[in-house]
Amino acid sequence: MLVIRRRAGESVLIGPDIEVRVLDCGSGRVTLGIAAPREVAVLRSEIRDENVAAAGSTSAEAARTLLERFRLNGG
Amino acid sequence: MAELLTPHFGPIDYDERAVLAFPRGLPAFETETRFLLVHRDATAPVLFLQSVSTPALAFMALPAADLDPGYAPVVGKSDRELLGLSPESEPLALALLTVRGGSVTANLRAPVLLNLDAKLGAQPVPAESPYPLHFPLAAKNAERTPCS
Repeated sequence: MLVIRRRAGESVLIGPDIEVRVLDCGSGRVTLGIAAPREVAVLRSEIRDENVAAAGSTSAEAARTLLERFRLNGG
Repeated sequence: MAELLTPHFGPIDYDERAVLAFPRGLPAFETETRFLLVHRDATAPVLFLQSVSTPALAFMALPAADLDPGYAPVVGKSDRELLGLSPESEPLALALLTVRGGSVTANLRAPVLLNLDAKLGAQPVPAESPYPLHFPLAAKNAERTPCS
């Protein structure tokens, strides 16, 4: 992983088409602006990670455990 | 009818016309474009999104509205186009389930959206969403605190 320090207002370019700019940083959170072509999917990595975890936890046994131990509606 | 041999659920007979097409796959599984929505009486209401191309790949899911009765997925214009949805019709939103240790959570932030009529599906990721990525399912034996 390339590690770069940026201040608010500065940006990095990834390839010819993608720009990531630090818009604001402070109080433990960074606000990023991302300019990329439409066909490039920009995702928070936790969504992909969550899908991988979900796929990894699928099994017939897990489904049975779900039914036995958890409420499956919030109504 | 075709047969899919799955490691999780054994052989599944299916009609080719029931296969759901996911033109963009799923985040982290972008090449997975064909899924079946599998219901089994023994495990209802849990649904399974079973890959047709990769028999070992399947997800457990619940309708998001079962978990949150007022659930309204964020569906943008390009999502509607991708799913072939008319302005008045709403997709079915499924929350994929993850088991971690003894707890189970549902992804309400990025649901799988299905147009069952057109047999199309997608899992778009909204830029902003009021819903959690890890919505915890309540254990059956958890005591409900009485309101007094």
